[in-house]
Amino acid sequence: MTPEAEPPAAPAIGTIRVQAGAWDLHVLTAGPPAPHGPVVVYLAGFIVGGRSAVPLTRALGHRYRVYTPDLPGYALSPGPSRTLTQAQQAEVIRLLLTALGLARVVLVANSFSAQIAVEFAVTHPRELERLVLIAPGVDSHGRTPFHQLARFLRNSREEDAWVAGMTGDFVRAGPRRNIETAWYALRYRMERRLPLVQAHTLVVRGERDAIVPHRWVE
Amino acid sequence: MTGLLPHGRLVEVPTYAHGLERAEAEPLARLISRFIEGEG
Repeated sequence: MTPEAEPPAAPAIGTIRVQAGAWDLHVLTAGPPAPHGPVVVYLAGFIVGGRSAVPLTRALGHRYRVYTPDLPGYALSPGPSRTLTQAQQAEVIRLLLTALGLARVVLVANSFSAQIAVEFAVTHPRELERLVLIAPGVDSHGRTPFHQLARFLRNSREEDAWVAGMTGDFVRAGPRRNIETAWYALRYRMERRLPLVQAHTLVVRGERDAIVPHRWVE
Repeated sequence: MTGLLPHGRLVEVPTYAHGLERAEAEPLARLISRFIEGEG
């Protein structure tokens, strides 16, 4: 399909539950089963899942089979009392691929989920076809709660709907998991892991993104 | 960060902010598709 072509009618979004090792995962699906074509796994972002992941899941579903999991403890997937680290969440992705019978996928990750995707790329290179990081955080100049809150508020002035779409998932995760997730995200040193990523990687940033600065992604 | 990736490529999308995956899902999916197919 060319970039200018109109897509066909929007594909239906489905939901399945997948037992991935010990984890009961809620997973959005879209697109036709494609045993010989690329399969996409999409990680929606920081704590969010479900509804906020629908637009890109649906859009990618025009071309590919797409699986969008809620990771353990977020949105509609139950989790442990203690929040999983990025490395542990990357292992959940591997378990998901095993449960779905997928040998190799394209991994698309948004916002702070890019940290999980980078961990997966480093630890499971053979299972990764290509990697896409959309608005990836956290940069080395913004690793304090103050910096992130200030940027969040600045970005929210431009994107009311973006904030509204996340509220339910933040409430569902609860204060402890939100705080632990933020703590892990702020401590993660992505720059130390990036040189170990062997997959071809696309980094995408909105030029008015107040949370992810240009100097970080370049 | 793109400079640290052995095989990294950066695309910056004008106009949109942090939630571009929702505001611009269709154009973003086309961009990702071109990358997956090796055209981008």
